[in-house]
Amino acid sequence: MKKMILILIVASLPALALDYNISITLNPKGENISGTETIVWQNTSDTATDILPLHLYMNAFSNNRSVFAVESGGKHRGNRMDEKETKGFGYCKVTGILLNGENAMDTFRYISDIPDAESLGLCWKDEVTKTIKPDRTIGIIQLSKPLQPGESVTLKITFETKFPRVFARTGYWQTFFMAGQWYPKLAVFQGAKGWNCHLFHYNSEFFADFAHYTVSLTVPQNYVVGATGYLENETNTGNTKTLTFAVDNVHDFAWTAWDHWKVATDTWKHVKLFLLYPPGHEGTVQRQIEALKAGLSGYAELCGEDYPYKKFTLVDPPMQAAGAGGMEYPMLVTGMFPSTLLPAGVRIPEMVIVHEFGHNYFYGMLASNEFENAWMDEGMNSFATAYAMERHYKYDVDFPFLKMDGFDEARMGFASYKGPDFPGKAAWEFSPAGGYSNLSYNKPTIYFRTLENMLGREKFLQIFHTYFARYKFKHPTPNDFLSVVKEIGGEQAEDFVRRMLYTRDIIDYAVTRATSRKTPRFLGLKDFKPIPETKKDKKKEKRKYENTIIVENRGDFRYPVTVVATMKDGSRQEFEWDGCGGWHRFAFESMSPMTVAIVDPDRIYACDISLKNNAITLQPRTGSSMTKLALTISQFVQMVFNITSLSI
Amino acid sequence: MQTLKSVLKEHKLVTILYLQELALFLIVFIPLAVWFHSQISRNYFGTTLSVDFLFEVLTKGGAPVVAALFIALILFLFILFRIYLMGGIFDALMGKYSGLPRLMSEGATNFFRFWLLFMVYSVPLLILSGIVGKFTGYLASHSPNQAMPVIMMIANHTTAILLLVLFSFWHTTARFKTLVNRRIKFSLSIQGKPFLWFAWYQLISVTFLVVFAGLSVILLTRAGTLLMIAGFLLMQIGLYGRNLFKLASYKLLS
Ligand SMILES: [Zn+2]
Repeated sequence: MKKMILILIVASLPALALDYNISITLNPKGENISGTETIVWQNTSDTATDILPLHLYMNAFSNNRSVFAVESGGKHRGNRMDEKETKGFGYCKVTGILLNGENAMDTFRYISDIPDAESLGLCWKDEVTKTIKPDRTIGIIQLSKPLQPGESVTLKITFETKFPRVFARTGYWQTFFMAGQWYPKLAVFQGAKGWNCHLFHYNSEFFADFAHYTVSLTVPQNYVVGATGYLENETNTGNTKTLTFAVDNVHDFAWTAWDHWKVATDTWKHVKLFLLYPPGHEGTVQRQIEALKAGLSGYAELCGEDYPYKKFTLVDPPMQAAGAGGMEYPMLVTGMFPSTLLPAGVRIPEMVIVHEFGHNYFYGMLASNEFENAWMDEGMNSFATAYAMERHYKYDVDFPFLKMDGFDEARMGFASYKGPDFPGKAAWEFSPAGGYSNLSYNKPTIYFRTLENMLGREKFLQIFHTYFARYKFKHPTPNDFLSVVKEIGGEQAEDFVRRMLYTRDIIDYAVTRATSRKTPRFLGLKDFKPIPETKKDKKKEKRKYENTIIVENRGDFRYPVTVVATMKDGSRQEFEWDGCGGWHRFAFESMSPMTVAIVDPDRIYACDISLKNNAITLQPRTGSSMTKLALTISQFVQMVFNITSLSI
Repeated sequence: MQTLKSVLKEHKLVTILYLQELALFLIVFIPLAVWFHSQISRNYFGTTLSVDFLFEVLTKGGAPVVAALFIALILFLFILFRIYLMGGIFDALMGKYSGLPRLMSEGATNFFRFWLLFMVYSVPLLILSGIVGKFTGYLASHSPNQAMPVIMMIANHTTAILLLVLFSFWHTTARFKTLVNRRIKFSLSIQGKPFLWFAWYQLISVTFLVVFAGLSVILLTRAGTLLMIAGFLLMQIGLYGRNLFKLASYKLLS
């Protein structure tokens, strides 16, 4: 049955208009590869074009004046690009081009060498400062005559790629190689809208068309290789071997080669799983495979369909090449296991594995434009990561004294953001002062969780199921997603997601006053007649408590919210407020004094920016925990000081 | 047996050292407890305590910086005061006198020389441990074997402890010589038997701390007021025992 579905998926795809046939040889000593690449592309749009733009991402690391280098300040995820040592630089050099069999090398130019590059309409007007030069991450081939709709072109490119010392996802360390964005890659042609081809920006990830790939890698005999696609053939010649991988319907191809790789295998349903790990990580294999399976089943539940390819490779890079970790490619991702000493309660490696695997849905199969809408990949995928982690593990950090899930992490991250941006922007439009990752990852995570709580899980899953089924392999846009949200979740749901993406609107409910006092004994004239109070009356009268709660809506959304009062004897009073009018007062009587007034007690609004103000506690219950926390820290200081004074 | 008796004989001096540690505890604990309690009163975290408390309240504003500066200042004062106390305790260890007032005044007389000796011995110790750290770090980061960092960490820590014991031996011998000669006197000589006993006592003393601190942490991560008190007591017993054996190791050299 499952197989039938798979066949149907593949059969329902449009015929691929793009074909890569790459053949390269790895030269470990020179930290480089060289070879040829044949690209066959058919113009399936209704517009002609007279250029072919190629991404040469590796050139971002060829000097300290590339857009990437300048935007990043030479840093990526805490790893430094070593500017002093040019040996550690990388590049992708095109050395020959045959266009339909004829030499076209003289029509090839790097974008920053073209004087009026803006007239090509490739990048956005404000995308690049003219002072940043030379950036060679885009190369342009000029066609002698326009390629008409329906026509095909065959490009044969010879190229050499020198890997940088592992930095920003790709590179080498000793004999280890992680190859991502390593070959000249055709940009996406969008018909009348022209070519979608952006420079390689610091914050930006990627966008490409689905293609058929055949890749032959020649590596030294003792190397172990992991790659996108299925191994079709392996031949040995002397000291080297050539492995040929092929696959349909992926939009990128990555591989890794190392003479120290160890391999573990497993299966999940129809998928053969490979784990490439460094020596010394034997003890982590079980944890990593479990995480991968948690990802496979979690995403199948969220998106409504199993991972369709028959193979998946997880790469666990050595820590010396940590910069290669935590990155997604089709059918192959890199995880991260910082230390074998990492306690089982710290599920950071698991989280990274689930996240990177999950990209195979959003980045891999939906494949939205990550240059312009990072949230459609990273945002949805970060939510999905927290979702899958919660389904399998419950917590990301799991100790008896400290528990934390992905939603907690995201809420706290987002709550710290004070800047002017919102997620619905292109990667380079975010303030350089920071905010890109907080908004692209954390904000969607907790807003989607809020949406899930508001709609109920069933309806919420229906949104993701429909979205995935309708748009897989079709590069959906933000409006495609919003239309599905509206169709299934209704207008309010769509409005909520839209405002999450394009405004700084927040949710913040607060209890601003809570009082509870004994109803004062009646003093005064009863029916205007003085009646002397008898002792009997005093005894008989059981005085009630008068309670008041004032709640405020300090956020931008007018959503209904629950307010709960808990009394000393354990009884509860529940109220509903429509969230309108700025604030609301609840007054009620009870037999026992109120101890807590809390708004949104079930945390439906997971994105509430401040939890602290969500309750007023008249009698704190967490006092002993506080004492314990202070005690633990003080004892820790005592111990550290004692060790510091070891020889005094 | 003889040595163990001598350990127990020094309990008065140990109590003085321990009181310093207890004072440290109180100096940290009281403001922390007051601050934490003030932060939960009347808000959400007074009802439900989650990790949000840490990020939404404790790390807000300049709190982490203030805390770090506070701890650094306390550490500095703690070390100064310990050197001062030791100035008196060493005299007492040699059996010259007993009584707290005398101890305090001798501490003042010896303070400067003890301070200088501390600097003289701690600087090369730091440099040497740094070199060892660099070397093991280099080996760890150049091996494809990911178990290497752990192996190197163990090697690094073991070497550091051995170095520490060695320097502590020299430092302590020098302190006694300084007292006997009434002037600064360095020492780099090692006599086998006293050194072995010294090292042995030092290791017991550290073990005391590690074991009891570990037990205390295990108890503190569980809920319950009784376990909390038990955890606190265990830690304090560990500290007391640790100082007892530490002073005994010093006494051996007098
Ligand atoms: Zn990601």
